[in-house]
Amino acid sequence: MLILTDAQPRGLGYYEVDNRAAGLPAGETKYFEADTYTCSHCERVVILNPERKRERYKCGGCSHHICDDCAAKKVAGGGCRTYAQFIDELRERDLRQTEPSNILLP
Amino acid sequence: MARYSAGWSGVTCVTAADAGVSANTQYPGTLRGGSATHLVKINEVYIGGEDTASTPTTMIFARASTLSVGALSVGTNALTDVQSTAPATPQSWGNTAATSGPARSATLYLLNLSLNTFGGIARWQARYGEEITVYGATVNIGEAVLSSKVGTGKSSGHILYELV
Repeated sequence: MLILTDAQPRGLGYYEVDNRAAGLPAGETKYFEADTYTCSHCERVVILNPERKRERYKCGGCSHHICDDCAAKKVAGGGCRTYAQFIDELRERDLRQTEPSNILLP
Repeated sequence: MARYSAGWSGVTCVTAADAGVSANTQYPGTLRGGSATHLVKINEVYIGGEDTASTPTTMIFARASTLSVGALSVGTNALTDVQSTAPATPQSWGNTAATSGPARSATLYLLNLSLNTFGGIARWQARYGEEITVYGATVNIGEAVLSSKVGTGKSSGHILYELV
């Protein structure tokens, strides 16, 4: 029975490097594929190293796995602010600046 | 709104340092927002190597700490759905800037696509909802550049993205 937990991210992106045609010497990695996720705080793509034993940090604020750099900031006391929030705030600000208003203020 | 495929063909990269301005034609391309409110979501990057001898190349897809200036050209930028309508001010793609090229941020790396361009390929595909965002036309947000950090590989490829 497969038990899904929050320890590992799910619903992943895909990363593939295929050097089989490059004639690499024996012992070199010729083909590599791995799942990826995108850090919700900075949008860096994280390639899931199958050899990694340390757990991936899942932010309690956005309920999404984040990269090690953002995890370090979070552990050091930083808050949760996703990149989507950041972009939304910028868009909101930009739209407010560009939309003409018909309201006359006294 | 509309999905695009931005491509390049037979580009031989020249190593570009972090924060150094990329010279025209020496990198696959850069994607820059067309207006202050353009939101672009990138969901695939593909690089296919075309060298005739072993050429390890460290391709980096990163945000631009210095934006390109002037019209971008060389490279293709096609709507994937012919029925879509392009915006009045489309986003820009290319590896030749009319005035000056972009500079890869030293810190805002998004994706490392190292490969041996002697027939090697590298590909990344985002999970739905986890695309890389490019917004507006400001430093560190409004432009993403694909360039070589180490190696002089020759490649062709594409970037699939959506203008939201």
